[in-house]
This record gives sequence, C-alpha cells and structure tokens, in this order.
Amino acid sequence: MIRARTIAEPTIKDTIIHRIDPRAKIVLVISTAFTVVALDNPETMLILLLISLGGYALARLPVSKLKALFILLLLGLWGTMLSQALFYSQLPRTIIFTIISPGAPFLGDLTGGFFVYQEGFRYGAVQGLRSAIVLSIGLLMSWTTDPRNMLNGLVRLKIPYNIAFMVVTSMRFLPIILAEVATIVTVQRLRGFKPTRVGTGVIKTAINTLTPTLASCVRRASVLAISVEGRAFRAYDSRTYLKELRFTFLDKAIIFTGISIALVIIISKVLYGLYASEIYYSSNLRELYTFVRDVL
Amino acid sequence: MIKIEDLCFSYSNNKPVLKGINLEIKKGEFILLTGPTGCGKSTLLKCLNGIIPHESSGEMRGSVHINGIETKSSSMKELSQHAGMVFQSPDDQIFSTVVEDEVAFGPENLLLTREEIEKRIEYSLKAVGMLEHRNSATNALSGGQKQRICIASVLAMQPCVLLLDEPISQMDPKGADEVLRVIKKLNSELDLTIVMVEHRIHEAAHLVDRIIIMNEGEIVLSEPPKKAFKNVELFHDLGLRLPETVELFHRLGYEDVPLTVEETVGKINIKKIKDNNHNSPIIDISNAAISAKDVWYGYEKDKVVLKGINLEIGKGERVALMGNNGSGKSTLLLHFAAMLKPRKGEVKILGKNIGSNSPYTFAGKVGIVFQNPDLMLFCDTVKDEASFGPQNLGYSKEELNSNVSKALKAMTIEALSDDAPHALSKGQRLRVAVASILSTTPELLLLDEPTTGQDKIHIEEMMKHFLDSKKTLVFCTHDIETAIKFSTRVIIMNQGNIIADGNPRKVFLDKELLEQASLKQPPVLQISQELGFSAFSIEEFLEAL
Repeated sequence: MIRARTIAEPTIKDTIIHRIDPRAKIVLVISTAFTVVALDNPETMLILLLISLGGYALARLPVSKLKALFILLLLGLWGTMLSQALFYSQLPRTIIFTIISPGAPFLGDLTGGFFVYQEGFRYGAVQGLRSAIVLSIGLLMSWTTDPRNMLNGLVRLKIPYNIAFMVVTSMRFLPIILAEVATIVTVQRLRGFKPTRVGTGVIKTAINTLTPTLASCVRRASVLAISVEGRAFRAYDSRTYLKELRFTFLDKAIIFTGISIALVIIISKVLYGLYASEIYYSSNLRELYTFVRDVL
Repeated sequence: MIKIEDLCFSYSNNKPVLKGINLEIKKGEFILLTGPTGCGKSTLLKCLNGIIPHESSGEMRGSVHINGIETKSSSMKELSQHAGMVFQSPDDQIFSTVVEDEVAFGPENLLLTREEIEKRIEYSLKAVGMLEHRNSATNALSGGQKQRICIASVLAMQPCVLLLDEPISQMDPKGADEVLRVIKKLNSELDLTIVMVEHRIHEAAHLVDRIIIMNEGEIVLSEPPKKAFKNVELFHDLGLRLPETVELFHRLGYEDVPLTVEETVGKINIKKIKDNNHNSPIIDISNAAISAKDVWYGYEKDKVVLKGINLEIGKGERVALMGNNGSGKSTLLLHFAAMLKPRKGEVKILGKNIGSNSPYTFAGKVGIVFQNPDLMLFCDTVKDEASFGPQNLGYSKEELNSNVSKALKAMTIEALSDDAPHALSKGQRLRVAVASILSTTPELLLLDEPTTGQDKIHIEEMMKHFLDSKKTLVFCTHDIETAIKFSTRVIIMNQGNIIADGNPRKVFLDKELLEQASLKQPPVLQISQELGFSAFSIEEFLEAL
C-alpha cells in the first residue's frame, strides 16, 4: 500500500531532467503524442522509446519506479502485440503459428481455426509502442515535476487557474487514493471475501471498494477545499507567484526541437499520404517519399 | 475579538447541531473547546471562520462577529485574513511538495508582492520554529513538523484568530508536545486569539486560559481550567479525560487542583507510604501465537524500516506496541497480519510461516483494524458490516447472528445497527470497524491506534472487552495510560529496533528509554516517584497512602 504511494508520487531531485521548465515538459509530451500518432514504423518508434527511456537514466529515479515502468511497458506492449497477432483481420495476413486447426473436432468447426498472424504482431507492435512512448514520457514528466511548478506551468500556458489547480491536486492525491483502494480490497479479503470468485465476485468487489473510496475522497476533498478557501483561494481573478518560471536555453531548445520534429513528421506523412492516394505528386519530393516509406 | 449571539445551526433537514450558543472570547485568549464526539464543537469552529454559512449547506440563525466583522455579511476572502483554520490531518491540507510553496499559497492568493510573500514566509516559519526547513520536502517531515507547516501557512495570512480542529489527535506524544508548545508561543508572544478543539484535554489543559465544554449542541461549561476541573462529575458523565493530576487531587479531596506534575508534588501532603505489591503477571510464551526471527523490512531498498526484529508473543497476551511515528510499529503489525513479508528473516503466525502463506489464508483467525476505519467500512448498515466477515467465512445462521450481536454489544453500538457506517462519528466508525473484525472471532487481533479520536469511556469499554475475551491482542498506541492499564506486555520501538520489551510496570520506570522513543511517564507515576514510590494508576497511588 505504502509502496503504491511511493511509486506514484514525484521524486524531487536536482538533475537535468528535474530542472527542465514544466512548460517545456508539457509541450514535449504533447508534441510527442502527435508525433507517435503520425509514425507507423516500429523500428523508428522503438528508437523513440529508447530515447525517452534515456530520460529516466538522466533523472536518476528510484528502482521501484523503474520496475513499475518496466512492468507497465511490458504488459502494454506484449498485451497489444499478442491480441493483434490473434485477432488481426486485415489482408494480406501470414499465419506463423496455428493454435486450433480448422479441421480439429468441435473447436475447429466452432472457431474456423485460431491462428497467430505475422502482420498482426507488427501492427500490435506499432500500437503498443505508441502507448509505451506516451506513457514513458508522461510518467517521466509527472515523476520529475513538483506539483506546484506544474501548476505554474499550466497557468502560464493559459490554462485557467481553477482548472490547473484541480488537475494538479488530482495528481497530488491520486497516489493516496491508489494506496487506499489497495487497502480496501485487502480488508475485504481478510474478512474472507474472494474478489475473483466467478459470478458476482468482481462486481461486488467493485461496489464494496467504491463506497469507502468515494467517502474517503469526499472527506479529503472537503477538508482541502475548506483549507484552501480559508487561504483566500479564488479571492481575486488573478494571483501573484513566489517563484517565477524562467526559460533557460535548454528549455527553449526542447520546445523548439519537440515542435519542429512533430511538425516535420506530420507534414512529411501528409505529403506521403497525398502521394500514396494519388492526389498530389512532386518529383522534387521523391527522396522524401522514400524516407517516409522506409523510416517513418 | 469573537462574539457569538444566539447561534443555532442545523444541516439540511436534520436535528439542530448548535442550539442557541452565546459566547464572547477576548483578544489573546486561548480557548480549549471540548466535549463528547458529535456534540457540535467542530461545527461551531466552522461558524467562526465563515465556512458556515458561506461554504456549507444548512440553516444558520443568530450572529457571529470576528474582530468586529459579521461572518454572515462578509466574504470568505475578507474572513480568511481574520480567522485561519488548521485541521486534524496535515496530509489532507498540504498539497505542495516544498515547505515554502505551501506557506506562500495564501499570500499569493492575496496578490501580495514577491517581497511581501518572502517576508510572510520567513515570519510564519520562524513563528512555528521551522525556518530551517524552508526548502525541505513536505513528505520528509514528521507528523508534528507537518502540522506546524499547516499552522505557518495559516499564519502567513496574518489572522487575528487561529482555529484548530483536533490538531494533535494523530500525533505521538513528542509531536503533540511540539505542536502545543508552538501554539502556546503564538498565543503569548503574538497575542493571537486561539480556539482549539481537542479530546486530549489532559495534554492541553495547563496551557489554556479557558475550557469550554459542549454537549448536544449547547455550551455546558465555560471556565478557566482550575475552576472547570472542580466539576469533575461533568467530565466523568461526558466521558472526557481529566488530567491525572486533577483526578488524583479530586480523589484525595483537595479543593485546589494542580495542572502539572511540578505543581502537584509541592502541594501533596503524605504521612506514610505503604508498599503496594503489584506483581507482574508471568508471561507464558511456550505456546506462541506470533514468532518473529531476525525480521528485516524496508519499503524502499535504501530505507530500512525493521532491523532484525526478534520476538515471541504467547497466546492470550495483550501487547502494546509503542514508539514515535515512523519507528516501525505499524510495519511490524502488518507482518503479524501476513500482509507484508520480511525481506530477510521469518515470521510465524499461529504456527504458520507467512512467507509461504497468503494473508487471506488467515481470514477468520487473524483480524486487523487499520488506523483509518473509513477504509474498512463498505456496507449499507452497521449490522451488515459486522455480518460481512462471518457470511464470507460460511458461518451458520445461528453462529452469525450470535457473533454479530456479541460484537455490536462489545463495541456499544447495538443502537446504531441500522445506521449507515459512514454517517457516524469517527469514534463510532472505529468501533464499527472493530466489531466487523470481532464478529469473525479471530484468535489474534491486531489494532493500529485504537484509541485515536475516542472518548475515555469508549476506550475503556473496548479494552475491557479484550481483557475479558482472553484472546491474543497486539495494538499500536501512543496512549501510555491505556497501555499500562490494559496490556500484559509492552514493546517499545525506535528506528526499526526493539529497545524495550517486557512488563509495562518495569519498562515505564526507565525514563531515559522512554525519552528515546519520544514517550513520557504518566503524570501519576512521575508524582509518585518524586514522593519515593511507584504507582502506575491513581488507584495504586491511593492504595499506597
């Protein structure tokens, strides 16, 4: 329970990753999200994932967090690849392994055969890598950014203060809620309840868990609300800040590089798409078409 | 400074919580507001800083004036600079990860310049003695330090009234002491008016100017401490805990009651002391319920919480696990429930090694009650809550009904059996959580801080039940009086090690050892030792005379 909370909370250190301005981090996450949606080459995406993991090495995060990240990435990637390999429906598709032969008695007739497809694996890898890259960059941002700096960053990016406060407060309390959910399920099991029992087990666990979780959230939220109201929260339309955020050269470089790469990739993919669907072709762009087809 | 006239309040469609309160509090007064759970003291506090009526639904009549301003007709913005409020749990109020950011939050909202914010941070942190922690991470602080940060963040608004809602209820004696000392310093040095709601009267009484007792929405007593303690029967009737010095002098028939040990020793007049021979009960650990051998554990690799714990707890023992916050007692308790497995070493519960058994295999045999009872309550009624365990464990209908009824009776919550658990007071919710475990008739019962937020009457009733049941009980507590009265053995932990293990009567005689664990001898023991003998309770003290 305490471990869940330790993993979810940010680790504040003085590393190059921690020092990056929260605005630069937010812009980087958003531009990465756009980039990975545009990409569909698994090799390039794997390189992008490795680069994002390099950030973890620079941030010197604790082993418990790295373990959690590894488990999440592995489960996400393997789960997507396997499910796509089994249920890939597009053509052409190449069978690399037969689980149930169409000729097998009963199950063969019932399913029409159950196969593992090569193209499904590749398609699953692309989907899985997309999620993995965004997850790893997103977690790196939230694990290395002080919530107050995040709040300032969001406000400077013109997000209304009330909404930014709510977002940051939710992030602050999410680890506590996760730890509480773990406790509540444990408590039920210690009283002889079997959450995985076939039938009502899972549903009943969900209902039983929801009541105390909500009650606890409401109590905590009301205390926090009274506490911040008592400290003049929303007293005026604007507010002052003790710490001013200032861009360094590195922050500017990150924002410039992140946005530029995203734009170049998106424009290149659009041009390639126009060429592939025979809408627009330019002989001057032949090298670009080759690059997009082979690399992006 | 504060003037309340004919104040009545009721939450929507419910019976009145406050019934015609009239009260005046002078500038610089330190008020201790107390009373049984659900008497309306926290609601009254909310009326003082304007939460009621501005941020709470319900009907309010009468008026509240703070520093000449009527709360009803002024805004929260204006009121926030006159009355600041601090709550029970610092973790629910702190949302910044760095101390200075938390303190700066209020001044930032008031549109103050950076220079002024800097000044206020320095002023507030200095006032609570936390200036050197200005750049510390908030989650690296102790409970007492966190609460002082909460007070500093309110002080940064420069209010003239400080309202505190049970600020020490979750703290170990050392943390509570440091918070109370800071509050007193603010009161005397800054002439700050303070209204503090607190159950731990015995720890705060000597610091305050006036004690106000509420019962069922009304003020039933409002007197300076010495005068208030002349109404000992009222405290007893309402289940409020008197300082031991007061209780002792009352029993001795003295008129003028002392509030501190030092004051007591000078006043007491003893002719002859008898030798009170209270033999320690012999502990039989040949039949161990719990056995721990060289247990090491840490939540993170570089932070070791348990450092080679060795102990055996015999069947039928009642063991109090004590020590300051973070000493490892709750972690050890989780091992006894098989919820944590040692990194190194071995723990056996009822003869089974927890390393090879899931905690759920102990369901019905081992019961644990967590510090936060809210996480244990998920049924619609109190009765359903107590029935949940026996139902899952396949008890017969007769057995189930009998167990549920016994558990509700033991926790004195029979009258609440059809109520929704989450609608009850904190003390009642804790008793429901205990009943939900008792109904499964466990052989080993583990309780994490069972006395927090409880009235004296209910603590005693609960503990008496365990005394009679003869089952093995292990409980974490900061409450020395309860440990002395109800445990057969006390284990004191400090920084992951057991520094004392034995009969409470022997362990609590060692002042140095107690200091290491941020504990203090109970006042009656201190007084008796000053007089040349050792009494662990008022009864023993009187017996010895």
